[in-house]
Amino acid sequence: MKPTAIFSILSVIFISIFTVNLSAATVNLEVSVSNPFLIANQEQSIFLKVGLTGLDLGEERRTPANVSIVLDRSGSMDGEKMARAKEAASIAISMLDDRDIVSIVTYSDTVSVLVPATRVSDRNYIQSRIETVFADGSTALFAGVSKGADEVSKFLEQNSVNRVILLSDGLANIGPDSPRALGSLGESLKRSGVSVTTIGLGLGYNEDLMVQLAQQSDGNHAFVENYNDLTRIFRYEFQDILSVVAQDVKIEINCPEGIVPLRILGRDAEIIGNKVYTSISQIYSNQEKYLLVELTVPSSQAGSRMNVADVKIDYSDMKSKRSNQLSGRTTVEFTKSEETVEKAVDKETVIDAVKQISAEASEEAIILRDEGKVEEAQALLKENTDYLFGAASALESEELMILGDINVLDMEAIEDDAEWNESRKRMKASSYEIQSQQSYSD
Amino acid sequence: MNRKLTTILVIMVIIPIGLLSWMGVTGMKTEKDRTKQQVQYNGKQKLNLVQENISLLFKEIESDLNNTLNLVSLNIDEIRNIQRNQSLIQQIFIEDEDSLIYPSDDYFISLREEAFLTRIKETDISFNFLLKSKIETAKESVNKGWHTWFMGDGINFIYWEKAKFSDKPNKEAIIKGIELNRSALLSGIINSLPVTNEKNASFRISLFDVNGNTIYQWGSFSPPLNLSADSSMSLEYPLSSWHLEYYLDPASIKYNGNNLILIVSLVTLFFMILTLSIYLYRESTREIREASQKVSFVNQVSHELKTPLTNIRMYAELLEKKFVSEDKKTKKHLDIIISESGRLGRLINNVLSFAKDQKNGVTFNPVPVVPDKIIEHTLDSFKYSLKTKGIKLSTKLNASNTVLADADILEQILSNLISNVEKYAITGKWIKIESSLENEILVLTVSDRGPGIPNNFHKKIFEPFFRVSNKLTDGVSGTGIGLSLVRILSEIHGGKVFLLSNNQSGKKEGAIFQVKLKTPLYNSKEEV
Repeated sequence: MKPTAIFSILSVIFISIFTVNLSAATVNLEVSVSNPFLIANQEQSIFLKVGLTGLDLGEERRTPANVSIVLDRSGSMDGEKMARAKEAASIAISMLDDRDIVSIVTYSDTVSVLVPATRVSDRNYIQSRIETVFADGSTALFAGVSKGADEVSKFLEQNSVNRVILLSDGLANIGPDSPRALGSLGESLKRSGVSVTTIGLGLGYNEDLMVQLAQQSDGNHAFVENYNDLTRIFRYEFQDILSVVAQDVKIEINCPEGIVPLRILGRDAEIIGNKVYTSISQIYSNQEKYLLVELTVPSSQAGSRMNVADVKIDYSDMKSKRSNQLSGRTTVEFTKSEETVEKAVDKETVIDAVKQISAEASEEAIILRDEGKVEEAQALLKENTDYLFGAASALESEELMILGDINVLDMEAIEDDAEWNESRKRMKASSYEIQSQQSYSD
Repeated sequence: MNRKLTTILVIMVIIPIGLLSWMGVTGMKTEKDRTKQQVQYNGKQKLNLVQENISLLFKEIESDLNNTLNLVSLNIDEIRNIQRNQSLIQQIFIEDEDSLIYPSDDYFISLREEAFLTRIKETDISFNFLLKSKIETAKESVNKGWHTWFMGDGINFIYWEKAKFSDKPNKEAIIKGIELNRSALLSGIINSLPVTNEKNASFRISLFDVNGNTIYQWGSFSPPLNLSADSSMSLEYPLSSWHLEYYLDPASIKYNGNNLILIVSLVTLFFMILTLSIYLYRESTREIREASQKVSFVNQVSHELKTPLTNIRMYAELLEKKFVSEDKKTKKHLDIIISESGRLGRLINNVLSFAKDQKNGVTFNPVPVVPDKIIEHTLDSFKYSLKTKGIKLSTKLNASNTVLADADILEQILSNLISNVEKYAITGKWIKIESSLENEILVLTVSDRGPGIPNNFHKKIFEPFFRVSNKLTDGVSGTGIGLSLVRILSEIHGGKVFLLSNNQSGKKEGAIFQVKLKTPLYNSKEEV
């Protein structure tokens, strides 16, 4: 998942990349295709990858955070869970300083603002407020997230990381409770510049809802089975937040006549004719976020060269605190030699594509299992396992091998009714990690 | 007397207590009603504020949407760019009078736009309704507004505006519209409403959607399921299918302090009245109880006294005959013995008769008698005591026919009346006894010139144990049952006793008692 520098350089040599850096950019754009060489006189489909990697700004110049921690304090959180959640929130606060803004919102039957959006100058006060939380009542999740986002919006700034961190262990039962409704909320929040990280604790929450909310708002998602891991996840999340280098990244891909974008892997994007639009909320330092598009390339004569995509990026640069543009394009060459084609394959891009396809298969298997089609789900995962292992050996990828192993475990888990709840949450979380190129996992 | 007094006292107690309880209950009820109304009013006020908040929010939203719609031209790329960046927008659309111009299957559209088209088809409403119905039915002035319809699990909101595009001059009118992101709208509404804090610790306000599901609520009070809302209110258009409910924590309702004072004073008053009536009752019955006890005692000993008394009398009379003209002084002493034992005998008879009457046991034994003879015989026994007291006796006896009557009763009635004169009308120094027979009714009249009987006591004197005056000077001989016995015995004899008006005697003072008894004539021939 993390591209080695050497491989990147090799890619640059093999593939024609024109990356225009208008300034000392904090984001590095790479546009690549899975197959730089294509067999002549044949219509083929390839994967286009638009990768964005953040540079390190350094602690001194890090992006300020504007965070709302939204804590589920419904009855089910009572006891050790709540104690750990408080501890995790306290640790998170200790990672912030007076550049940052934090608010703490709790919800059960109703929503309370424990700490209104405030600059982190008096950590002791904030931590003492956290101590007063107790668990009781039901789960007004939608309202909790809304109010958290409302607190964030009080100090909403293009140059800070605006995020809601939701910790919940239960099913929303007051207010809207469908994954679709929460997904829509996530989408609108993303448009306002707020992303929501959802942390599902234990086995009682609705992973579809939590993933949808994270996905649509372009936040992170984690499944924390054991409350003892909460502090670690909070630490990851805050490290992530504090390493943002670019925000509100708009990606526009223009394909020349004849080249058809078929589908997007992983992320949500709009395909309109030969154009693709999408956006990524945040780019973190030393991390790659990417978009994979499957393209149909028309046949062409051997020796000819074809432009497959013009990519335009518009983002808000956290270092210069200005909006910045990047652009890039990539071409393919046609040859009669299958060996040339074989040799030129961009393994990194293909591996990413395989991961995305595998994640999609995993999602599909979950749907089948939900419909009670256990055998079909297993067959799908079996197919996926073979696919992963095949690709792993062909591409010499250890990562895909591990993914294959996990798939084997999923295949077994899917028929175990007792374990299914847990497995489903794990599968959901890990496919989302792949789809969103989340930097951390548990 | 007894029953009447009790009744009065009971009424005296019951009416004020009833009144007080009624006042108390209604007072509390009105207080409760008042409090309830106050609660409802407060609730309404609070809900009104919420309503205003939401209306204000919708005004803002409308203004934002208007601004957005103003930016919408026929350039689809621009439209798409607008909708990508606005958090409240689900989908922008443009339609002319025939069909949707955007989005449309006529050109490449995104999955999202396709989903919009599917959504609309699912609603089973042609989108042209918007334009056509708005144009046809709405007045010229109405050129924008809300349109809502139910989709999935709630309302879908559309904001529309009539427009004319300069680059489409041939088209008359066009509708530009925005389908709102329902969750974003909901979230906006929620964010315009308060969170739970110390200001709303005692109540709960809940916002419900058309299906009665809670959308949002705030306030620390958690109403139990069976509690009904103190106030509720529907929201304004376009949210008219939603409503607000207000619940106040009943524990937080404070009743007015005045009310407590009222209750305490009512209770105090109640006890005061009760104590007073008990006191009055006991006071008024004390004499009666005492007299009654006296009679009861005399009754018990009377049986024992009667035989010795008869013997004393008999032997005294024997002795009188023996000493007929020898010693005047001895004769006088004997007269006193006879007179006093006669008086004692009457007293005992009275008590026994009264006690018998109490048990409904006085027997009526009519035998052929001449009333005047009985009267004379009775007067004989009084002659001595009247003489010693200086009471002048005058008689006018006209009942010399033989009639059927109870001699004992007759004698007892007369004795009591004369005895009363002796006791209470001694100052008049005069007594007159009259008798007559009118149509088989014996009329006995006893008049005196004593102090008389005040008008207001005319009825009461016939009640047992009642005495006009309780002065000690009245002497110890009164038991308070004499007149009462006269009345009882008269009634047993089929007659009645009357106290005639004092004036009848021609003088201001004095009393006239008249007894009328049913005495059928006795025909000895028929007997034989």
